[in-house]
Amino acid sequence: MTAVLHVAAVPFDDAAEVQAAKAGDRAAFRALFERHQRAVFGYCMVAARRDRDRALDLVQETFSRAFRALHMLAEPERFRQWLFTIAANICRTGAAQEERHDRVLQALQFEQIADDERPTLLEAAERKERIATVRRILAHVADERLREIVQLKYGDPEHTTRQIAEKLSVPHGTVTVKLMRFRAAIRRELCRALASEGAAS
Amino acid sequence: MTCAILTPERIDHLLRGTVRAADGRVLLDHLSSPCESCLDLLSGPAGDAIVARLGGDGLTAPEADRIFSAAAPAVVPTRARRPRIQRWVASIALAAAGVAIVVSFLPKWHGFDREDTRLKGTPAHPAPEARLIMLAGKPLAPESVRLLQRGEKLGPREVLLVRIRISAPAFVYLVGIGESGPGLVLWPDKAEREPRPAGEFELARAGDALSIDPRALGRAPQIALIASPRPLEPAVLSRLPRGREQVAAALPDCGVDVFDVELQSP
Repeated sequence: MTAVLHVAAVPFDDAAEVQAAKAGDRAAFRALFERHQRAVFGYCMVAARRDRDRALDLVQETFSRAFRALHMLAEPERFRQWLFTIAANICRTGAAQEERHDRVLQALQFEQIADDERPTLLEAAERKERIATVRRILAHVADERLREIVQLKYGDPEHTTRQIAEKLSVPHGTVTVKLMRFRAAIRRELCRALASEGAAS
Repeated sequence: MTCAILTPERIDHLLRGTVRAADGRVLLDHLSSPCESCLDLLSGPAGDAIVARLGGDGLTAPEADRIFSAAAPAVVPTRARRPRIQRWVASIALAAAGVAIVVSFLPKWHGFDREDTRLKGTPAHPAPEARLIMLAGKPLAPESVRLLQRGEKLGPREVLLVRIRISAPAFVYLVGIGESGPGLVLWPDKAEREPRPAGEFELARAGDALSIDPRALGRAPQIALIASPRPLEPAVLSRLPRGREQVAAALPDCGVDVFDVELQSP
């Protein structure tokens, strides 16, 4: 019955805490840390291949860099996405990763930031990488409408959900529901990447 | 609709890195072709919990303290903390509630120590004070989150988000109590090894607010918060009576708050 109670999660808006932390409020730093440490730790555990000590180092490095650079974060409401970008950079450049393992991390990072409705300002290389990740996920999705919506959402240029609804002449609710379904597809891709590791072990 | 290949048990093995090679190959083969049943499963609670479960039990309290201390001090200027009330305002804004809502809540804040909100306990070892702050919002719509005052109705499509304040370190439990039947432990998922430090925090999993649909508890649902100086057994929690006074009487050394959820008709 517990599962019935825990319905779809509601993402936090970090903006207020980020602004307070920028002003030097230690409690705000702590709030940001508490809110995101578990997800960052999960990501780092995967990156470190379940080596807990290594994962702890990665978590510490992620938060240290994020807190040091917080004053440079132009969009406080995007703290979570930014934090995971930092975690990904640390985890993926720490050691030469196998391509298979790298795909696990890409899927996992994408799963964390897929909720963001606003277009992102990505470097060309990052955009290319994300489009490749999206293509890989869509290769295992049969729903044509979902594919169409996702390609508009994460393609180049990116579209907002309202723009997509207008362009495809579908209700806005249809777009948001399909994107929630895509998030499940990202998780499926994560499972596929983990299964690929398991099959090879 | 359930998938015969990607089962919750196999997901668990994948997340723990304990999948056997043969199972891994079966899963890989299946996951390389489209399957709507997999998406059904991963759209639900099993999917929401994926990232949280990657880290097993997560950081221990000492690990979290150590990492935070190492990450934060170098960047935090020495500066007096903002007054308590301002920190509260920031916390509410964090949940995307509007300024008007915060202003309307201020009298409640000042009333925290009034007699009618004091908790029972022995004078020598007073129970930690515990306070539930309920927010209501629509799933996946952070802009819809609002403070839910006691007596205010929860909309048909809204769920509850929970913020907790405790005055002393304590083991924190959240229990759903319906009109009939046993209490349901909503939090924590697993027994916590360390007490929570005093202060305010929201119940979250993997960076998302944990949302609760109280309709699953049946008619006249109540949400009880218990802040205990010692770990409590689930069996004790599932036998809790209804009502704040009754719960406080059953757990005299604990801080207790109970929120009666008023449901708006669909």
